Amino acid sequence: MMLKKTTLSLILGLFVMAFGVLPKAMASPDLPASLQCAEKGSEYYTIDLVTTKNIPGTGMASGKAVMKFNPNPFGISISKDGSYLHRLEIQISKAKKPGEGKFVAWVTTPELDKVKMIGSLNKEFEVSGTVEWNKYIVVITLEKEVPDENARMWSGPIAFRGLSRSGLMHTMAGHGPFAQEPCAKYGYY
Amino acid sequence: MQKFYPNTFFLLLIIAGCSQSLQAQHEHHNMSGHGMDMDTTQAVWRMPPMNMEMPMLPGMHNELPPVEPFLAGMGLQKEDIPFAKPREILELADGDTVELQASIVRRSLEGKDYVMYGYNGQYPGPLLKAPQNSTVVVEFNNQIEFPTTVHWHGLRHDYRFDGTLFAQDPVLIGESFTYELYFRDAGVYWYHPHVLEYIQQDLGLYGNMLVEPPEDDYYNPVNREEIVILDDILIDEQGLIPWGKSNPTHALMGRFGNVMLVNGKTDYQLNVDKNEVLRFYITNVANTRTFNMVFEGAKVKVVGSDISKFEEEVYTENIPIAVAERYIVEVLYEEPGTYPILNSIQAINHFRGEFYPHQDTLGMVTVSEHEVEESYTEAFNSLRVNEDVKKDIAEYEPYFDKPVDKKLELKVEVQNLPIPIMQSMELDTAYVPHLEWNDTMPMMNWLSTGKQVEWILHDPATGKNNMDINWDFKKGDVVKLRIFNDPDTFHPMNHPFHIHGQRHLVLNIDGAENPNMVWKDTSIIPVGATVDLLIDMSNPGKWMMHCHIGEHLDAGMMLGFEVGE
Ligand SMILES: [Cu+2]
Repeated sequence: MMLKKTTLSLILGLFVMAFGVLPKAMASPDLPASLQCAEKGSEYYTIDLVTTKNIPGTGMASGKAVMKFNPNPFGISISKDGSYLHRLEIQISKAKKPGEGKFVAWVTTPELDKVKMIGSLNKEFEVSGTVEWNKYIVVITLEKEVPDENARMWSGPIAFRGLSRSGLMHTMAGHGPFAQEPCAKYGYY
Repeated sequence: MQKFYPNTFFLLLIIAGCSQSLQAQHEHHNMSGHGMDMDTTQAVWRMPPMNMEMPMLPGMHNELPPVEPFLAGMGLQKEDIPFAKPREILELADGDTVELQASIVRRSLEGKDYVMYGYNGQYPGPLLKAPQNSTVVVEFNNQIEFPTTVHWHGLRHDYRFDGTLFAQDPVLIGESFTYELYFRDAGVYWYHPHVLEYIQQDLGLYGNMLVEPPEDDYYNPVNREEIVILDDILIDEQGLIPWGKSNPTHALMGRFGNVMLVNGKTDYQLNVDKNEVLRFYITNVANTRTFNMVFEGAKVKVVGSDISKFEEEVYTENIPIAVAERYIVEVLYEEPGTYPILNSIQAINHFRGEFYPHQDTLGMVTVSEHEVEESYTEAFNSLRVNEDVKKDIAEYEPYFDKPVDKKLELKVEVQNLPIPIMQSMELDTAYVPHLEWNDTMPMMNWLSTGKQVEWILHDPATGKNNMDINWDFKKGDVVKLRIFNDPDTFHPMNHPFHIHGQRHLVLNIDGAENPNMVWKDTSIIPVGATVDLLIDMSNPGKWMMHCHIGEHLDAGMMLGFEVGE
């Protein structure tokens, strides 16, 4: 339960971030670096993984999850329902090996209704896997042992998290030309 | 590339003034596309149908595209225009001559009549079936309301018959031109105008060519072959939404239709036997829509694409196909029942900031209890490795790691767009998807025209753009072209990139190597992606490369190159 709360507040936090930043961006050129100038190629879709500072040895650490093209016969990789299919390459840097347990990477939809384990990080603090969702959160937890590959939920504390770039997409209500449209009317608070 | 700063831009816009307002035409304007009473002598702008739950962009109610509207057959008595018929199949032999005429036709879709165009009074145009390595002469005659040409998409033949501005002047109204086609590669190809594609092709000027290989076992044995053309068209209760006559509307995202067409019809149907294996030759001729085709209830195997078979066959659940691409797939129906063929996508609602699943039914397939006479399921159930293709492609392997010869950056520049559009776009592009599967901003898109929007192929080596670029190559050159689709441009968009007269391989996307190659003439360049193409400059002449989205092409996105002998 505690974990769920943490995650929910994380989602809220990310939304608040998106809400707080974007209207400001409309009015002033002081865009945060991440919005001002995208990097080239798949870098544009790279997810920054931010430490929660909950785990000893991760206070100064950071990471990234690079969304890569998943080779297939077509020029775009999507699933039957039309969701993008990516290879996700996760890497954490400047973290210390935990005294006990293992770092495990997960992806979850923002509603937390679906959770998928990507796998446990190797000695180089790296792991990769595929994701079939358009909007998701990458979560790295510290687990006592590596969970079963069909694990439905993590059980250890969250060490790092980050939102896919598509999370920047949010309702236009309340912003710019739609300033008079209340966000709440469209399900955003 | 830096993102522009909105405040500076707004200032510029205010100084420059923006698009015209025509209050008079908008008295009955509302969201469902109702407009003026029908006028049969001239086209009048009316807003395209829109998603009702999206509020109208404030301050935009009176905006109209600042270009002249066009509809086909204005001033003609509708009753005098003949109805188009389904396409004929023309079985051709080497040396044959075909007559092809573009003319005004009447089309019936879901019980309503529309004035459109057709080749030989047919929808789609006649299917030209010809043996590989044959030559066919086409006597073309133009009876539509514009000058036009015919481009034979994908053929590696004589550039003088390519239908581009490098090859010929447009065929004037009433006049004729003789094309000589040479079918060098087996596979499925298509023909369409290379003048005002966004109007002429959208109105129905397209048809397939099927080039048949001499080998009996070139493809797997199947019970039946189906030639399928995917398209969409934009219609409201009053009829077709007008096109911009000299510059396209929908210049940002291209014109998405709201009615899906398979072989020019809304009610594509197939009856098949249990365990029947079909080979589909699929072509996407839409102005901008990429389809994600799903054969519900069937097993699907991908066999080939634009100009060849794949090195290796693979099973798939869905077929994403961009504008002008072709895929050859084999389909097995094992269970009796009725199944839809779908376009299955995750659409975006930018106003709500959400992805949502969306499906269009493209057609229906009924599988009977009756077992198919001859079973080809065994061939279907094994995946073939095409050694002939592997051998051909292996000859180009030494070039895979060569340095990049040419680079292109894809971007867009806009001027004089209405301020609310500029503001909304700033929000809209906080995140840009790899590919736009639906019209996420129908009003803004409609109002953006080729007058305000310029799509750009930028050559960073010379600083030149679009038709100022004229690359020189020699026959036999193997050219590595690196294309970067800048995600940080004003409104990024995927581009189906077409290279005339040659064939190319997709080497890698964002550094991820392509493990299973196929010869292409059109490849998707997703937003944010860097794609390396290896072009086999095998065919001398003066050619074009361009984005195949009709509106992007008209808004500048093309360049020239010459392959010397
Ligand atoms: Cu384009």
